Amino acid sequence: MKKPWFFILLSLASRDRYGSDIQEDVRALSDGDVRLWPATLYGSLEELVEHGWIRELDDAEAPAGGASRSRWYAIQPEGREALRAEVERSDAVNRVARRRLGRERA
Amino acid sequence: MSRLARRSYRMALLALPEPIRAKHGDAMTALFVRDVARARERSRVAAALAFAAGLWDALRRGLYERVRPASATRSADSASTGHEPAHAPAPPSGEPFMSGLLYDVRFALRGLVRSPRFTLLAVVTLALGIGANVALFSVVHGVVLRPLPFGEPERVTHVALDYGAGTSVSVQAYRFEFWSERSRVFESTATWAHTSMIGNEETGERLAVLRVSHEFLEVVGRPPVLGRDFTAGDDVPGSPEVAIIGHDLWRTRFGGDPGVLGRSIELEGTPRTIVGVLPAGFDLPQEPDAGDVLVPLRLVADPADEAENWPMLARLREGVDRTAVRADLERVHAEFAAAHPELVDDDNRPLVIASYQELYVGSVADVLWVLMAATGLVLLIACANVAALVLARGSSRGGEFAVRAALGAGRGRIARHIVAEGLLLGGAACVLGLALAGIGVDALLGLYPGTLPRADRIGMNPGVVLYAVAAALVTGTGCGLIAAMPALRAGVAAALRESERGGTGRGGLRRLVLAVEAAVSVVMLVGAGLLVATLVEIRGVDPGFDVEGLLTAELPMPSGGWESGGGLAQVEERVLEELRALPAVAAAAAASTYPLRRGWNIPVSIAGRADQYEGAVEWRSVSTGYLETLGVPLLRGRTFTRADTEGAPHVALVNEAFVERYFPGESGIGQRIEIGRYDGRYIAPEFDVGGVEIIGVVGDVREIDLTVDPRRTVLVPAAQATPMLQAPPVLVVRTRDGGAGVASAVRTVLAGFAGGGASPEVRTMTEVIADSVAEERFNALLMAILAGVALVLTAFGIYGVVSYGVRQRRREIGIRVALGAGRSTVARLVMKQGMVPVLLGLAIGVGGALGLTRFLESLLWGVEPTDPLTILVVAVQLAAVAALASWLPVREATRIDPNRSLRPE
Repeated sequence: MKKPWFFILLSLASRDRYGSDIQEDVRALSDGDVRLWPATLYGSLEELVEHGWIRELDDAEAPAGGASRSRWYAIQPEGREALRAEVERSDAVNRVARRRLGRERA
Repeated sequence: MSRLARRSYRMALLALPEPIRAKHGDAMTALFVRDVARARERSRVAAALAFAAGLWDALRRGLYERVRPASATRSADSASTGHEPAHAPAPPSGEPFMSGLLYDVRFALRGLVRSPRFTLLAVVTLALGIGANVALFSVVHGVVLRPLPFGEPERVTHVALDYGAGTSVSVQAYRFEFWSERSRVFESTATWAHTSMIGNEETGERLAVLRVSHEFLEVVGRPPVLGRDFTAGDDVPGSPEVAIIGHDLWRTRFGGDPGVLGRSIELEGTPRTIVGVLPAGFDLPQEPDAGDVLVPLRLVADPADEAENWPMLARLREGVDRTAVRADLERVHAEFAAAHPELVDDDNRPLVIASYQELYVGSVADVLWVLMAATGLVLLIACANVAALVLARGSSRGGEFAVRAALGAGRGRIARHIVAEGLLLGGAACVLGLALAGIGVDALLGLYPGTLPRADRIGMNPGVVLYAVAAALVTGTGCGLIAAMPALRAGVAAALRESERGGTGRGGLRRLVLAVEAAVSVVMLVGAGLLVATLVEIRGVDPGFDVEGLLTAELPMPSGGWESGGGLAQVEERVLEELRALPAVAAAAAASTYPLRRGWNIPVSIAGRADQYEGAVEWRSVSTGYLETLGVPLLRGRTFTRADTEGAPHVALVNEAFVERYFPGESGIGQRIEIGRYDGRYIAPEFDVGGVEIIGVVGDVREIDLTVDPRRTVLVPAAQATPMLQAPPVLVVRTRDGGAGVASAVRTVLAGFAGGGASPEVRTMTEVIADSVAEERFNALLMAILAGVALVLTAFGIYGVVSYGVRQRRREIGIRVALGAGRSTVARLVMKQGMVPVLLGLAIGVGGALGLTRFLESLLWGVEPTDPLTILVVAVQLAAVAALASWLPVREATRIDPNRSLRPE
């Protein structure tokens, strides 16, 4: 899964967020490694919406607080599922990696 | 700052498709501005980086959004980029024409990526053509086209001496003053001299100083940015010493201090008050390295000083045109003759206006334009090749186009797609071409003998890049249009038919293109051939002396000066003695100069004939043994001996050309001539020795250049040379077997005499001669390279056409073989496809060459522009290359197995 997608989903997994909030959260999550510049951020959000992994909240659903004109996004069940699959895949790779490294040390 | 950020980002957002832009544009812009502001809090650099990163991100995303397939499905399984449909996806709805073209570009891009070999070949071919072109253009632009860095450069002009056959850059001081005062068309005039002065007594650091007349900065239109310009008062000898310093010097030595005015700078131990600072980037192309400091010239014009040392630059009054200037110059010329009749003689040459180009760039411009035209031709051939490649690819895609047509794409649509491909190829070639051009320019400047004027500023400037982009656009669209023509003409049905049969229809166009390529190649090959022939002709000239085994060197000055060695003559004597003692040295001598190196010329009169004199006879002062060392034949009489000393009767040798002119049919021996006398008057009293007797006649030597006929020459013994012309001589050494060891032995001997560990330069005469033709060699080399590239590209074209023909006619060939045709018949059949266009091209090319080569005339010597031998050689070359290029496809054709070729598709 592409890095921006992974981190956006991760960010939305905890709660619904709007655009610049996602950007800051992702930066915190990745320890400053992943910077979502505006075009990549919103472009990826659109792609994720197209895929059906996240959705845009209507004005009625948007929580109070934050700029009134911001768009809010929420993760979808399919998105959560994809995220979980990705984490598991990555876990598997890490397990193999650890085993190999452990073997070398011996 | 944030307004700039906002505006820039809005523009970058145009890269994104409309839907995204409309929906998120505001939010994205706000986010970007906030990011940049946050980065600004950290540092300016961080802000700049954030600015750039954000814009780049927008552009990149824009491209991505436009190229990626619009996935209409919301499937959870295609987690990555999704599937790419084999055929074009439906174009986005509701969008105007422009995005239609963008859509075509997107599709064309994918098509190109899927045929990497074709794309690579096409891009590289075009890039070579564009690169060569851009390289030459940037040189031409930098050297010839660029206006001088003066304010209103069209009003600035040189004023030069008209020699009839040419112009001399510099004029006499008194003429400069007279014209400056009396002329009515010049707003201001200036002259200068450049020199280097010690700017720091301790470190001995030298500064490049321009001594200028007080109107200098007015004429060039670059007033000081700080302080004031020189005044007429500063230009008067005895007034306080002042200086205007250059911008760089101001920054490095005075730290850019605005209070620098009034401080002083020391030059050659004399303090001068700084009154002004020059603008940054101040540059006088006529003196490329000067300009650290400007000081007043304080020219004192003495009419007796006839030295032409002073270049004259003038700023014309506004609205004055050439005719007015010419009339004014004539008027002042007449006034001058009236005011100074004693200075007016037969040599009273008028002043004329001349441009920097004429005086300083001169013949270099010719060479550059010719090379530029040549690269244009190479580009033409490259385009033709790429067009052929695209056509060939197109014919194999007939089926694909047919399907697209069935899906609703019209002819225009398909054509537009093909043009889009051409544009993409052109774009990629532009980028690669610019990189190649950078290398090419460096190579060109490195190869050029000597330095090109204004070469320091040659580089990638906006004009050059624009030219490259324009070239890429034109070639890309051109290739695309050519390739699209069949699709436009024939339409869908024909495309279907062609794809069945293998597309014979397009062969005609390809053959025509090949003929054009061949013609262009021929023109270039003829040009290169003529330049090479010129080089050969020049090298074949007999210089009049023995070149092989001859060394030249300068007489080394002892570290304490000539006096410490006992005087110039003593040093020369001892050096020659030691050189002659070397076993490998057959003869050694000294002279005022050696052939092909600049020497003096002087007026000579024939004694007793009041009307026979001339102004410029080549004058050489030589030691004994000069003729033997050089290998110049003594035709009559005797050479100099040790008896021809200062007190002895004055004697001279003259060359055959001299005798033929003044003593035709006679031996010339015993005749008397007066060296230094012109029209009854000696140019300096020292020359009046009562005449000189001719004691011998020597063979003609090409003293000036191999391309110049031998001038009339007079040789005098060094001991009898007029004192005012005596200068440290050069040495010539004839070696016994001309090995490299001799040169170093000579060097060792000379180093022994020279002061301070200097390593004296010893050159062979062969090197000297090679240097004298360095320019012709450069021309021939470059033209040959370009012609070679053209020929190789044409060979590819021939190969393409012939092998294409073979593919097309597989069936036909199979049938013929089955019916009993032999291999040679098949070979002839196939080769005709390639040879006919080539021969046609040859004919056109020869015709074109005959017409165009007159543009080369200024670069040729000893060769006619219509030299038949060269043309014949070129024709043979082309035929040979054509045969070679056809060989592989012909071999393939003769191996066609009728059984296989006749099977149905």
